[in-house]
Amino acid sequence: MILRCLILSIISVLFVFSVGCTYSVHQVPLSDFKPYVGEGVGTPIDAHAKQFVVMGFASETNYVDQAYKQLQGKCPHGVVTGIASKYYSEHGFFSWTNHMVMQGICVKK
Amino acid sequence: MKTGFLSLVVSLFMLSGCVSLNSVSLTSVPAERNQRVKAEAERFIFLGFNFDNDYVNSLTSDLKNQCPNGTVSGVLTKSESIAYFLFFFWKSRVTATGYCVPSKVVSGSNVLKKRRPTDINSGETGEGEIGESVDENSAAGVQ
Repeated sequence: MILRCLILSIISVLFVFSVGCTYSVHQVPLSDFKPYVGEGVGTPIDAHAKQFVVMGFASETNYVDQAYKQLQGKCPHGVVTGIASKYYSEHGFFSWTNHMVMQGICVKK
Repeated sequence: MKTGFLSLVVSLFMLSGCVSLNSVSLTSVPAERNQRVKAEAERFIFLGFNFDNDYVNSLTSDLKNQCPNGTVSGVLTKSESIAYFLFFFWKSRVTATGYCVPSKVVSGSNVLKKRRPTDINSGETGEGEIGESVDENSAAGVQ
């Protein structure tokens, strides 16, 4: 009975810590609107890239460039303007995931 | 054998840096993305002793130099910190990447079209204010 309770508590604790339950927004940069377009003009596009980090050991921050390239890939022949980015972290047990979300408006030439 | 392995692990640990992102900024991405420009500035800091941030100042001129006859647009700027052995040493690095959009050749007719009504007299004397008439975006610079 005691052993079962112990196993159950360990599993519960592991579950709680392994699932990201807290989030932290670090930065929300907003780009310029050039060319300026009215509401409803252009297509909204978005990109998302992430990086899993264990105990702070990370050797690069290429996920930012990935999100940037992904955003451009969704608007191959147009201008991407009004880019709202969100850089946040999702916390886990001795680890976290960095996320970079970019949302913009694709204005075709 | 064991000591050699340990020293290898310790030196790898000391030399490898842990990168963390401090900030990101973006400007509008142009449609013409043929010419990529990139500038990077970094400084090695020991025990937090850093007396100025002047190393960042060269970024703008670096980007401008790579695009003398155009406009730099779609600039993604990343500021990172790379921590080495127990945070005794670290490196601050700022990277800016963007695209050089060549400025269009301004023809005489364009200058006339863009001239303000108040400039009509200067046209007669031949003192065209090309600098003012040209769209400010076409001047070489960083947006």
